[in-house]
Amino acid sequence: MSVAERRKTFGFRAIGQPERYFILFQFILLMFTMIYLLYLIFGTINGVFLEISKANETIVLASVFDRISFLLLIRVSILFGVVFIVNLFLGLFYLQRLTGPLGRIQAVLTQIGSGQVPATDVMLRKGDFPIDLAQALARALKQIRSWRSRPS
Amino acid sequence: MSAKKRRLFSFLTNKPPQRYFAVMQFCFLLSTLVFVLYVLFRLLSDFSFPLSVSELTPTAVQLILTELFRSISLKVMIIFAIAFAINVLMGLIFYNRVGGPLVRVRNVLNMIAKGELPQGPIRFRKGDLTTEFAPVLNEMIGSLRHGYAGFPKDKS
Repeated sequence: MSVAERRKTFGFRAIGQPERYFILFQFILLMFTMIYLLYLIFGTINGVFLEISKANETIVLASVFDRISFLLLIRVSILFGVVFIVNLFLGLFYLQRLTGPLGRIQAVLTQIGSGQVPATDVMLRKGDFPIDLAQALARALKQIRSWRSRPS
Repeated sequence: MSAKKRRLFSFLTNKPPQRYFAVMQFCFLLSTLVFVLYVLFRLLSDFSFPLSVSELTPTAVQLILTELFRSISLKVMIIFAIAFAINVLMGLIFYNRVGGPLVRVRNVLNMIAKGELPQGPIRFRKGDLTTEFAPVLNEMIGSLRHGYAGFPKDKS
């Protein structure tokens, strides 16, 4: 335990609850993005051709595709900007459920390090991920309290 | 140490894991955007170039559009499938860097719960993102080792 272990090449393959949530969340987000992107592309192309047909002009594809390219550049960039913001907010919210309780656990460890033992266990909020860590801390606290109660 | 109520925007913090996640997602989505646009423009160019000089009837345009839509759908689906696989892989590696040290912390706490203490200082792997636990944990172990009577022997 004393020496830092080397990172295993495929150590990330252990799939727990947080990883499953992340995969599901990314799948849903990218699926919606793809569907909306296709809708946007088809809508843009159809819209340009509809405009031209209404204007009753002769179609020259090169100029039409230039206009489509410009519109797509703007619209697809906006879509990806929005997706980035949504992804960032949801991702940080998800990450907070993992890293948020760590501050509380760290505070308890610091307290023990300074010679005080908290009277109560760490309670995690609903939806927090590191439940096993909180449970391990509760068991360790129980043991430390029993050491503390022994006469010197 | 009771559980506090979750604040609405408490997740907007500027810590190493959050920064790493934001940069990772930005790079990932930017690459996907560039690749999608490149493929789109390439397809549009392929469809427009051979026909740019000819004047087309609406029926011919409809046929070209149907072919173009099919081609775009297929390529966008392939790009998103690859993007999803890459993002999941990157996400799992990221999670491993955040969650890896927590597994070690849990193991140390489990040892203490069994009445044992780890020998030597706790160190995390290079690249781990929640390394602030190492000094705290070492301080706690040092305090336990010297602080209480009837203390257990060190365990390697």
